[in-house]
Amino acid sequence: MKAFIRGAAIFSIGAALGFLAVILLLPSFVMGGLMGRLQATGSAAQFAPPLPDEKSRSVVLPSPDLAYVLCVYDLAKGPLMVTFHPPDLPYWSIAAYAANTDNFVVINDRNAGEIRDLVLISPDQPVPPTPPDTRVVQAPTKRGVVLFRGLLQNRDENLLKQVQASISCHKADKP
Amino acid sequence: MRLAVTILVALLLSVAGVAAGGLAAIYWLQRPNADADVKVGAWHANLDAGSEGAGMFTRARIALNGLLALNRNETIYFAATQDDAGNPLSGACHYEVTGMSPAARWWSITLYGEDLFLVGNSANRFSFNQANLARDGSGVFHIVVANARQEGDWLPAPAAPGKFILVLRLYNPDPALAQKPASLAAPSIRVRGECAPERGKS
Repeated sequence: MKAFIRGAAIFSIGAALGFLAVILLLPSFVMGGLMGRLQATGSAAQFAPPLPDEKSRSVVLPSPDLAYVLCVYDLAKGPLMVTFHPPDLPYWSIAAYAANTDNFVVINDRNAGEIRDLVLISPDQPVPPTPPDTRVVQAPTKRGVVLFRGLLQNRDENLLKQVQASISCHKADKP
Repeated sequence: MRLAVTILVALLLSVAGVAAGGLAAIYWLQRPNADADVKVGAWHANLDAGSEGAGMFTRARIALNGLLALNRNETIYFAATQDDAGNPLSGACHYEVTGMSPAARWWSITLYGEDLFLVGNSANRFSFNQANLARDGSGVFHIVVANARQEGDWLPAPAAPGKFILVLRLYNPDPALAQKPASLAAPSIRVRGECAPERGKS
């Protein structure tokens, strides 16, 4: 009986640790997998997928109404600059995500004003003074993803190309 | 010798425990609505999705079921896995989704399979949004969700007995709705006619 209780206790402690480990590690694991898949598609670490349909299986719950552009960043290699000049759309946004999936900044067509550049700097770098058309944000983690969403009312392929060409992610020489 | 056996058994039990705990976590995270904090009609939402204030459970669930979600001020995501009567949404049934335009800059209703990806169909139709839905004289929209082609605004569902979910996205919800998402006038989801027998519903 004693051996059974001891065995059950060992199993239960293991189960609790396994449960917690999955809960804590899953976000970074899933984001790491996404970043790895995106980087494998090209050297620029910028990914402009076709309009989502049933074959789009890289990220769950893709919106069929949106043009997407994804950029993977690694701020250990220097700041990332995202330049955006999208055409007139009913809605667009640029959102940056940390390695643990947190959405730490969003700029959209309504609140962008004059801003046309988003610069991400690493958590250990101070925020420098910036020109009015640039927003500098300190990312909470060195690695992560930037995602542009642009609403296309009728899945227009030509507009998709135009929208995706208006977004550029590149290494900023200086923030 | 006895000590070695005891250590081996303890090791095996702990490994089995870790594996069982990990699998239980995955199963628990995949359960719909488990940590929804708003429920309106058949629709539920987790308002911490994408937020820096999300707890570890919400963060893990979003990683699995809604990666790269926007925070609630930018977009609120309502999902429905059941109809108004509480039955799982199934390709064996015809549904009518009826409602008024929610208070948001832009909104859409999209159908996904159980795997959370879009469902292929002959019409190449995956969603409806505020710009392409017909309204009646009172401003009410009616979407028919069914596997077989329908008249009007038809949103194709998977073949029976495939289960599916509907996601209502509200981009830039009005401040009042963002503050109080439970005030949403949620679209109703009602079964129209009889479901095909594959559903196993008596």
